Amino acid sequence: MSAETAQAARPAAPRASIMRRALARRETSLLAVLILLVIVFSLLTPRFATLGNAAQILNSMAITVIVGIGLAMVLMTRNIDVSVGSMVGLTAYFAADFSARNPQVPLILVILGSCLLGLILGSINGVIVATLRVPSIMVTLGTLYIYRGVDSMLAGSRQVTANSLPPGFGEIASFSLLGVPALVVYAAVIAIAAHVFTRHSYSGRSLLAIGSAPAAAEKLGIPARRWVFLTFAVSGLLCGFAGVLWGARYGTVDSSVASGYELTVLAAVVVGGVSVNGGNGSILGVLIGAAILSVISTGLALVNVSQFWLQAIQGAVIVTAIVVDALIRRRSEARGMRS
Amino acid sequence: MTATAPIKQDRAAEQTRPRRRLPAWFGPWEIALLGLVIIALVYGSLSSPFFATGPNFAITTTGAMSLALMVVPMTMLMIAGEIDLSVASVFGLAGVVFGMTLNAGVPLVLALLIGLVLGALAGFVNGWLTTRFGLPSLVVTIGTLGLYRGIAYILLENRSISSIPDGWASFAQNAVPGTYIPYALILFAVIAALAALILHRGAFGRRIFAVGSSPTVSRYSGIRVVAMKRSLFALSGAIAALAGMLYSGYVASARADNGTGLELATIAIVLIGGVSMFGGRGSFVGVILALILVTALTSLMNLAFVPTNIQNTVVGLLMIGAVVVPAIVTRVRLRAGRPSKS
Repeated sequence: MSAETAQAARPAAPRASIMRRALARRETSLLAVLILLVIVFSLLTPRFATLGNAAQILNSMAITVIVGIGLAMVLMTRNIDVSVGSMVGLTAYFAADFSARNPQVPLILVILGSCLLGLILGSINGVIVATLRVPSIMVTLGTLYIYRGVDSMLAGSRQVTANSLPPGFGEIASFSLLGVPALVVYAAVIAIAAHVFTRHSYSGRSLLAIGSAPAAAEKLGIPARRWVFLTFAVSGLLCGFAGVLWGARYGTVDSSVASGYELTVLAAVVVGGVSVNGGNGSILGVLIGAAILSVISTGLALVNVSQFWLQAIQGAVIVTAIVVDALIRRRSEARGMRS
Repeated sequence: MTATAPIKQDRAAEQTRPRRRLPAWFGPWEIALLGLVIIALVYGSLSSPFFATGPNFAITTTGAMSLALMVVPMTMLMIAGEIDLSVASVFGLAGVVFGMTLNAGVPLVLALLIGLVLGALAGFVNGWLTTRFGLPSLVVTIGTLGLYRGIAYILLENRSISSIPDGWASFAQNAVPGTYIPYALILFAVIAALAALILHRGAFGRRIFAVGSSPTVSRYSGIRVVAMKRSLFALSGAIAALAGMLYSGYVASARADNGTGLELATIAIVLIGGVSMFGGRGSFVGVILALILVTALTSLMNLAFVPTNIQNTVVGLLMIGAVVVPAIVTRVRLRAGRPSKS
């Protein structure tokens, strides 16, 4: 069956390579923006271009990258998951609270448990969207509220603090492997796996196919609903992992953890060139998008711009990024038509 | 062949049956919502002696008005196939600018006008970016959500302005003397009635539906799609600004974080009201019923001291219900061999 569909897909190959080239151009321009930002900040302050600050930037973007990868895969299939903030919040409280109450349970089990909880939450989104074929923004906007509500019921007004957590819990996020911070290691491993999957496997390519032409994908025999379900499940799983990391990194966990975080992640993913209309985007783009936002926020803090300017500048960057993106795409489309 | 015969008969039977069709603005969805509203109101009156009282009505509706106002233009925008996630940020920004202009000694009416113009401008920028570059409004307005809220923070940082004139504060807080009808409710009713008339009784409203169902066809049939979308975005900004200024009167303070997160609540109500995410479908009556339903449930839960986050869970469940129930109904109808009407 899969051999048959692979053969059927072959005639579409030249088109895919055009798309691939366009994508490459996209990431090049994004990378140029990133490098420009780094140069500007390095000129503005000597404190920017240091090894310590580089580690700080990577650390602060790691969790966004992990959640963003899941969201990007959902977006590729022309769906959206706005419940990621609530899933991170709920799993963060679950993991931290459980570990504080049961310090004897090995942390690896806590991590797995949190991932499993995330997987379940994501699967609920996925089942509703895939089996009933209903708009994912409505479903996940609904579960955004529901998961946050469950979080509040669990947590009430309680707060898990770093003191009440077992000593190893913070280590999950703070150890370093050959000098590379833990969070960066996790994000890198997940990003490489996701990149290989979405770029170099038939299944991964079919996510983009589903997103760019759902009807055609179905005719090719791509099990669209299964893949849509799985992307939501994976998004939940990654949120579950990110939840543990959130608790480990910040130490203090209450019911408001990561509320509004969906917009931050969405911003990073969209700046990274993943289209909300599906069928377009790459993991590399997500990394660059998250890096751009992280460089801006870290850089602004270092050049002593008031923290109150941060949100406006981030918003302006997002608007600029998508407008520039649209202009580039329009130009490359015009070029494609002529040839 | 044997399978198609009963369907044909069924269709024939349906055609011959003398059946008055429901108007487009009051279909099965609106009836279901009306049923839920009645159940919520009856349950509320039975479960709490304070629910069905004049003061509770006044308190609840006054509190709901800033959200209710934003729902009106969002309905029109979403029927036209666009969305505005920046409304709550415009809400916050307008409140801040309103407070600052008042502080600078600008008279109330002029301050209100400045706020409205600012909101319309912010909305127009959304519309311009969306139509000029052919971008999805979801993405554009996520950007301006940060931008507008950020400008509010730049202007006021974490301070607050509480020198709101008494006249405006009492307009936002009080009911018409001798009644339990808040002034703000009258303002909302006027705006909502106008919007309903425009949407369901005028040529402009018909064009909004047309643009939402198929922008391309609409453009070829001579509808000025771009101009319409830009004006709807501007309207959305202006009304969000009005809501923001009303809210700063209601809480008698303007802060940069006023109304944070209200964009999702606004969209939730529009969607529960039966407006399609993809445009072209929906009715104002449904949205108003959804608004009444959510407000009644909020009041019920407030009387039972349910915390806000858990109250939001109910909104979430309603949203899931709003997509799942019709999907299942369509399924069952298809399986029963009767084509669904919609």
